[in-house]
Amino acid sequence: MGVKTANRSTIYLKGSTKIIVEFFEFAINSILYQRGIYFSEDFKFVKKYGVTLVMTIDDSLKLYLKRLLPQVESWLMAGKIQKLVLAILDLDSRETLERWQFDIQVIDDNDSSKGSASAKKKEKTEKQIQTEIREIIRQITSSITFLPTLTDKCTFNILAYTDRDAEVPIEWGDSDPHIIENAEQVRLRSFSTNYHRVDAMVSYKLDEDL
Amino acid sequence: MSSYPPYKRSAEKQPQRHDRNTEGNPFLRSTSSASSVLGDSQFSQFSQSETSDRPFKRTRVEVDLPERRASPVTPSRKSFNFIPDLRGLKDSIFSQGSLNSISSTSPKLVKDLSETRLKIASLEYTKNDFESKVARLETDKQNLELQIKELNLSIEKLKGDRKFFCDRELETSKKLERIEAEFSQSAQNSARELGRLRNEVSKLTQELQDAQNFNQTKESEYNRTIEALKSENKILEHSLESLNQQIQRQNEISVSRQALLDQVQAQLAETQQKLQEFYDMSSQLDNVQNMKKLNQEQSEYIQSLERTKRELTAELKHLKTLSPSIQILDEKVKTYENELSNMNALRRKAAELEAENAMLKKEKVEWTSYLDKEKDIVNVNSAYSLCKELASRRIEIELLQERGRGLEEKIKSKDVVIAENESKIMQLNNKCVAVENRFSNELEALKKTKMLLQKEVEMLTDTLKSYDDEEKHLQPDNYDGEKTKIMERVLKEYKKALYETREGQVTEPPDTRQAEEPSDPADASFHSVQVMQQNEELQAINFNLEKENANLKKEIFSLQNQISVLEHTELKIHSTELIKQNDLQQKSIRELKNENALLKKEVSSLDQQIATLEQAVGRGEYNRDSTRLLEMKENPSSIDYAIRQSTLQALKTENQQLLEKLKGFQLMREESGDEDRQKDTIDVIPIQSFLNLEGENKQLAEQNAKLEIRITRLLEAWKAKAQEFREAVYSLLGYKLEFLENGRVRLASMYSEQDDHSFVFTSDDDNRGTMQLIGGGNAEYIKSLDDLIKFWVVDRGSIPCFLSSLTIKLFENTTFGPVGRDMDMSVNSNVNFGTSSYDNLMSE
Repeated sequence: MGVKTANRSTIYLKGSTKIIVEFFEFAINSILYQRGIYFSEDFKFVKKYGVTLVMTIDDSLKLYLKRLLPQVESWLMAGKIQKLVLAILDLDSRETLERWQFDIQVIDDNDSSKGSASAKKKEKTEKQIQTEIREIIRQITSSITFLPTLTDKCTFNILAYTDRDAEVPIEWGDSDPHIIENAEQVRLRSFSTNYHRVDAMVSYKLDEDL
Repeated sequence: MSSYPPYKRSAEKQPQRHDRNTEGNPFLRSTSSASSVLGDSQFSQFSQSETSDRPFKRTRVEVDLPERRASPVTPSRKSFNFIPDLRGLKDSIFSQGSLNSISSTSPKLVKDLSETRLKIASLEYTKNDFESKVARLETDKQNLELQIKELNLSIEKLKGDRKFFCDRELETSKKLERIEAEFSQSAQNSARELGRLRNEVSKLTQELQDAQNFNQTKESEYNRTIEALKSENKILEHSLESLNQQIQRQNEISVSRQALLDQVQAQLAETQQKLQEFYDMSSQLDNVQNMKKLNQEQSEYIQSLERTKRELTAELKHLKTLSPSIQILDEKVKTYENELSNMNALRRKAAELEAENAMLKKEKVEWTSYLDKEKDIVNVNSAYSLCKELASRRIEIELLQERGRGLEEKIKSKDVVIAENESKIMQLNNKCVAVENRFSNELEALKKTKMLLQKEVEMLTDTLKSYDDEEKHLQPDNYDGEKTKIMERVLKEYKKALYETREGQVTEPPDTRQAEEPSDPADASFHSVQVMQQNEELQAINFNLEKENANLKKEIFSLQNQISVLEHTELKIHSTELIKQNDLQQKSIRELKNENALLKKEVSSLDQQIATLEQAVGRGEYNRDSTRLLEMKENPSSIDYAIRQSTLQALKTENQQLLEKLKGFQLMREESGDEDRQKDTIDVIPIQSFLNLEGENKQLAEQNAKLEIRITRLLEAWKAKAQEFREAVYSLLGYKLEFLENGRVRLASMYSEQDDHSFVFTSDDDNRGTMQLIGGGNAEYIKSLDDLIKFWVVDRGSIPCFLSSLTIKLFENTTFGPVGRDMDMSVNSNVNFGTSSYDNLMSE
């Protein structure tokens, strides 16, 4: 019985991790597209989650994401990652202008076995998850209405907040937290799979003139 | 006339032409000039007649020319010319008239005659008119003849002239011939001579050449000798120069020697002087020794100085080598200075913060001191707990106040209950009084009835007495004295009883029945029985009433009891229970409220904490103990930054190299002082700048490639869109659009029978897109649609209507049915479309 549940849980965990990594990929692409970090011609349109989303065709960006996301996946599997942050920086001044933060919480296994509420969560279908993801991506798309426009040329960086004891490959290194002074933040929707919960948030530098 | 048209047209040009001819061959000059004179005279004559454009005159000249040969003047012939016409007319009229006279009657003849006469008269009049005109014309003619005469005269003169010129011409021709002969002779001579001369010339030229050759050789020899001489000269000059230099040097040497000599002399003088001085000083040997010592010291000092100098130079060299690092150090120093300024700012901030902190501590101390004073408050360690306590106290106070308010309300409600009860009591009392009143009334009524009854009894006793008296008097035998005595006694008893009843209404007369029994007199009469009965009834009523009264009183009492009991129970038993309950509930409420308020406080404070923490999280802060912040070493921003860094590094090295080069140039200039050389070398490009340019070039190429990719993508997108557009147009409007060169568009209907059934439209001259129909793929097809074109395009100027009507027409005609032809938007046409449009795009 115990073995069986363990197997089931690993299957769930794998599925959940896969969903989350996929979501990260689309979210990162959407943000880079919406915020104009790359040219809009560098993206192609794909259907996903029942909506049309963008996916990069820029080789350097593709390579970067290809190397980044598997590591995130392994951290997710190990439960060592706390949050993933996409920071948008001004190219000239190297000042952090926006932080797109995705907090990852592992839904406790004990809790899920105890509570009836979590039992409901167990029943969460892929369709429900997709609906939630779609809502977040819609929010990302609509967030350009309130975010200040990026006038200067910008670049981006992706930061991972991991546990102290997480395994760190050689191509990863410690980073500065890219703190935004005088930040304003907006909490976006969240979505949850059977094993993880992802809260999205965007904080941005307030326009000093205002 | 007609043979001269060229001359006529170029009459004025004629002399020029002759000139040209004469220029061609000069020998024909004399003859042609003579003929030209003649011709000119003739032409002038004709040209005169032609330049005046009146035809009348021309005919006249034509007529006159033969006339002039025959006779000079013939005026009568002209008039005759007009008369035969009239005569002929007259004859014709008359002949008509004779014909008429034969055929018709006399009056008609007369009429005709008169008409003809009138006609004749009018004709004669016209004839006269004509004659006058003729006369006028004749005068004109005379004038003209005079002119002709003059002209003839001039002609004759000219003929003479001509003759003269002919003679002269002949002469000149003769002369010319002679001259020609002479010339030919002379030419022959000259030719001969020329040959001779040529020979001579050739000889001479040969000679000349020889001479020239000779000359050249001579010249070259001379040149050689000159050069040799020059070189000799140069050598000599050189030797001279060297000699001069030697001389100069010798001079210099001599001068220097002289200077040396002078110096030596001066030194000699000095030494002599010194010697003198020494001589002077020799007396003071101590001094000299001192001097020597000093000298030694100084030399030592100098030596030490030189040593230090050497050291310093070495150091200097070392430092010079270190000079670039000094620049770096300068940079570093600058950065440090910046950092220092930052540090200062931070320090200032820290000071401010410390001040704030101190203030806060002071405040805290005040708080704590105050708290110490307040001994009853325990467990207050922090402001937070204090605030919490305070809040809880406040809430407690509030709750207590609320409780007090509740109690007051309760009291009020109790008061109300009491008031109600009092009113109830009052009502009951009232009721009691009313009952008593009723009873007293009844009692009074009873007393009255009793009084009445007593009166009746008295009256009855009176009557009885009277009866007794009567009996005593009337029947003294029958009189029973005992009987009356008994009756009196009974009466007295009744009276007594009544009295008793009157005395104590409450107490029931116990022996009414006993009294009743004896009331029956032995010899009871009817009245007495009646009275007794009445009495009995009254007593019964009285008894009943008294009983009732007692009952009522009992009732009142019981009610009063009940009221009191009720009051007690309600106020005591029930209310105590309620109060207890209430108290409990209120207690719990209070507790709950307290708890609630505390929780609320806590929630708000926690909310605040959450907000601040969230703010911190939003800014990007994290717990450094538990969390590690990682990034990929090779991320877009670092790559971008690395590019900047590398370019900066490259620029720095370039700058350094350039500076070094500049330094070298400066040194060279300082050494040589030659500016031209520097100018030559300053154009050299440093290798790093070349490399930079190469790098830039590469970047640009990459950028270019990217742009190309973008363009191709755009093109593809555009192509797809254009195809979509065409398909949309085809499906919506039924026409296949094909864009040709020069802004032409070919349209083919969906329902056309053949592929070449199409139209070609072209845009306006200024390419505004306004289309004009200019033709089609098939001329017959266009012809067949002439009516439609005329109706819609020509008359109404509407191409859309034409196309629409055509679509309907073709649809009706077609055998394909509503399906239509498949759109032939094959790759070929598509590519053509795409590329041509792309070319247009590019050209634009």
